[in-house]
Amino acid sequence: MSIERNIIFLYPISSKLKELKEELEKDEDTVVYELDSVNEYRQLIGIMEHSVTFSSDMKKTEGYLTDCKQFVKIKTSKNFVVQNKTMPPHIFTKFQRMGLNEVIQEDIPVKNFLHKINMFFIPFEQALIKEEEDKNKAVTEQFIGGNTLLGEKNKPENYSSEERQRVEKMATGDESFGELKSKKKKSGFDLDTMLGGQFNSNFVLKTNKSDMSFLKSPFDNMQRKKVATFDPVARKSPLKRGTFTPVSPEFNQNPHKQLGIKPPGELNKRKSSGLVFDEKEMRRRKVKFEELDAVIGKKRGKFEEVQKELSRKRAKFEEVLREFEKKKVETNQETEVEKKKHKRFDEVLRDLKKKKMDLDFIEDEIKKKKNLFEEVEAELKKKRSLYDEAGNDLGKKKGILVGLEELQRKKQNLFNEVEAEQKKRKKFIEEEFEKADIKKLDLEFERDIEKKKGSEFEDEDFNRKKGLKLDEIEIGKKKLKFEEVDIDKDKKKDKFQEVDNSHDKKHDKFEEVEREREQKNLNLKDPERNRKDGRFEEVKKESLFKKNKDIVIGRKNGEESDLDADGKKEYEENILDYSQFKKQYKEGKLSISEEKKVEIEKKFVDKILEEPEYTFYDNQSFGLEYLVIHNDFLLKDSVTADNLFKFIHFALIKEYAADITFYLMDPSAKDDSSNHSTIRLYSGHLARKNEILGNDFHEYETENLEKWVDTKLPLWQDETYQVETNEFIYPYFEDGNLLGFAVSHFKNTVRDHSDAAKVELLAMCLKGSILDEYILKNGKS
Amino acid sequence: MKFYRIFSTFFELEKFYSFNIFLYDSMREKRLVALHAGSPITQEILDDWVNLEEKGAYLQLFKDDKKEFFYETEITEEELLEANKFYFRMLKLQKDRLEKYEEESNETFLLKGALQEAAINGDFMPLINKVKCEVLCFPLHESETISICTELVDKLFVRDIMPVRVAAFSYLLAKQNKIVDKEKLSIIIIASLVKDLGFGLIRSSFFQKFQDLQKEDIYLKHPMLSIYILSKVGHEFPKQLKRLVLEQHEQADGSGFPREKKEDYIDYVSFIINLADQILMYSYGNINGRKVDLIKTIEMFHKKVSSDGININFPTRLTDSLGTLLLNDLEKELEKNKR
Repeated sequence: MSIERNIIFLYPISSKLKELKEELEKDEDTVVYELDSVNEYRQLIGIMEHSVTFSSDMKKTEGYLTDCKQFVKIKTSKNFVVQNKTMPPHIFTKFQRMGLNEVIQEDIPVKNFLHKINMFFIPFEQALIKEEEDKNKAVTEQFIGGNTLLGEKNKPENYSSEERQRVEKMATGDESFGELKSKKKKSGFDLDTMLGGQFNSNFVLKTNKSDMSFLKSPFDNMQRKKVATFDPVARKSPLKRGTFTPVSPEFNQNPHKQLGIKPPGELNKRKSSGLVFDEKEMRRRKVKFEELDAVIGKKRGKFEEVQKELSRKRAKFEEVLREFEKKKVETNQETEVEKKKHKRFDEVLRDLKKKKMDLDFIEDEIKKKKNLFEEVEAELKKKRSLYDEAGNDLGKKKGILVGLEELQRKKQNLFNEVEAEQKKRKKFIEEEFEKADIKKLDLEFERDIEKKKGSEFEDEDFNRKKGLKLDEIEIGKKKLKFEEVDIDKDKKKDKFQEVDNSHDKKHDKFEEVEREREQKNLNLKDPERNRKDGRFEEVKKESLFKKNKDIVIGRKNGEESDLDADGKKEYEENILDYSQFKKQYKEGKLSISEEKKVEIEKKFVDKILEEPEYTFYDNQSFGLEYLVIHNDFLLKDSVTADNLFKFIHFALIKEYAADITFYLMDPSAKDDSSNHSTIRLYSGHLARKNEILGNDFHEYETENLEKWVDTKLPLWQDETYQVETNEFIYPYFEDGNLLGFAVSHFKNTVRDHSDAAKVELLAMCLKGSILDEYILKNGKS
Repeated sequence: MKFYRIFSTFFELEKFYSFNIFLYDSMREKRLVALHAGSPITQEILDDWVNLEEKGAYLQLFKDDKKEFFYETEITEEELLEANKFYFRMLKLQKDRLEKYEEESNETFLLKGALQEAAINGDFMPLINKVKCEVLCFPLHESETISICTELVDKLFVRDIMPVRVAAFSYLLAKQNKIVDKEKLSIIIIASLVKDLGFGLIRSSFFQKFQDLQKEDIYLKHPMLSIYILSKVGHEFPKQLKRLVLEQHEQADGSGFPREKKEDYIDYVSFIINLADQILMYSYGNINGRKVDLIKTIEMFHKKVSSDGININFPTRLTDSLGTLLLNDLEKELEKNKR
């Protein structure tokens, strides 16, 4: 038995390959395929076990290698390229990656090719022979009774024999097969029977690897393993499928479950067996319940604290609101700027009122939720007392416990909701306080009112300074009447700066006091004393409103001293620096250093160097439009040669205001080289009365005709296009014979080579007409 | 415009300028800083700049430094614009074209309907106009080929002549075959227009009878003659354009000319140009002297019905796409009733 030797020739093939093909065709063992297209190749290669492909066209080679990657890039397929040239290594590597095995020079003899083919097929043939022998050996052993195959399962060579034996047993209906399976889990029998079934006919397995290859795959083993550990009882159990998550550990403890059997009477029980607890579980749950209760209690305490804080904040909030309203009443007579500010103030006030309404609404919600919470709590208490009363009655207890649990959950949910609402309210109030706009507006408004009253007796430094500054600005305003808006802006800026300054001053003072305090604390290292002072217990470390504390407007002097060391640290961390930065910036201390400036500049320049350059391309047509139209004329029956000459003349007039004249060499006078005879086919010079040549073309023609006839190449009188009147001569040649020529004159209109090329093109496209005229004349003559 | 083109003559010797002067190397398409801000201009630097300008590089000014530039060099804005004349001319041209044609180019157009109309009244102008509007909206800064194509279209697509018809039809067929690349579409248009320039070098009397011309040896060489003429234009056209011109008469089965190439070796776009040309030439009567209804001709090619003088060996994908240009049975019925 031998394998099929498939040789494929992918056309076009070189002469050497043709020779090889002829040689191979003589061999009966070899099957030669001649294919034209990659499509055919694709169809063929899929069904071949072993094949050698020869090609000589690189494009085709690339095509089949890429298209049939999965078939050609395997050990059972060999691909050769035969060509004259040596292939550059980088291209060969690329092809090699696709599956190409070798590039063979065409000059090597056919013998070598045959040898290469033999070398490829022989190992496969030998392997097949060996396998055959093994098979025979195994069969004889089995018939003798030596069952040594199971122990040799790790040897890959024995695989086919094993399989064969297994299939044999299956086919003969041997009962001992079950035993074999139980001993050897990786038999793969199930899959075989499912997918195959063809083993019934003979005992020899098919040698085609592709069919049985999946049996060796790790995936297959996995599949079989899965099947082996399959527990049908567990799957049938309704408990496992049900929604039994809370009591799932119970099943692990259940001895019946572990045995895979059900205790008597189990089937008659209620399906919701999750409620069936034992005493231990009950105790555990109770403890858990109490723990939960304690947590809620704690939270409640906290919640009440928060509520107190909130009510305090609310009072403050309302105070601010009242102040705003008060200020509103005070401002009756206003200037335009004031009106604007007033408007803005009103807007904020409106906004505040709206927010207040929202706040009220949230509070109502909280109240409602709280009531509900209390109701639930009352119910919970009731249930709990019932539970305590139930005493030893376990059944009753269980029912109550479930109810309690539900209530507890409800309570927790409600509490969470209330807490969320509370947080919302807190956030809401905090937001309002944080709003710098309010702060600004407030100060602005105060200042305006003060200005109006003309009050000069401000108590605080802050207000007095502000007033002075404002007066100064007012004077400036009168002086510089333009750019009112800008000045206004400046004013605002200044004012805010002042606010910042005063704030800083206060802050500095505060810092001083704190430093002193800290020093005191450091001196008094005795922890006992500290504890006595109660300094560390007075203020909570985790303040719920520490943010608010930082932003409270118009803090009283007395309040500052209430802060402890920790509170101060928080205070320091959250604010201060920006105002200092601003100050430093104003003073010029914060300006960028020169080095930094240079660095930034450099970065910017580097960036713009990479900007793409948008260059437009010149929209030239190179006179091609005339050639295209000329082409169309050629296909029209009605168009004569004269029309074509006229058209080209027209094109030259349009483009360069130039005239052109076409001459035909008279074939009859050809031999007489001394006296040229020419026929004027068309003269643009005469038709338009060429001004360039002083309207006397006849004279000019007689003077220069000799020179024109002798011109063998297209010629410009001045190739630098500098002269005022440039002459261009274009001779028409066919097979070395001068057919005629064209002469044209330009007055400073042709300025560069591109213009000259255009003129040459226009003259050139008439060669067909000149040739036609020449042949016609020749025919006549 | 981010960078203005400036000349070395704008600057004075031994003077400091507060802005960077850039140099753009158009060959390498790279920009560098020719002189950093605050550096003096020496004679050596000026000489270098003059040399580089002669070689094709040019100096540039960043747009943000314009004010400083005017102040320090005393160059006026007009002078700066004059130095960038080409850029602004092209920009204006592009703007004008977009203003004029963009709206029309975005209008819906049914090739099928336009061909039906053209078949009845022989007027191809709607087709030509549509292509013109679309092509004139192509950006002029994308490639040289596109720029040339727009100019040719601007000049030629006002005439209802055979080469223009073929170019317009090829363009629309290509678009129908999902070719949308502007560069490729421009090549298709230019190739369709110039593919027969070689006719100018063939005896003009041969064109009296086109059927006889096809038998002449010289006719079989006309794609090469066209390439010869293109080589004399003074501009290096893209390779693909030349390939399309050379393959304009090649057939899928290798029966075409001049090189008898087979399907695998022929550019798909060449088939598009060939098909458009054959359909229009056949229906116009140029191939066998008989005028045939345009839609019937399309149907012939779609169904691959062979006829005298035409070749129907085109890729199936292409001939199948012609089916969308034909009326379906219901439409035919309606058309009949209408008539």
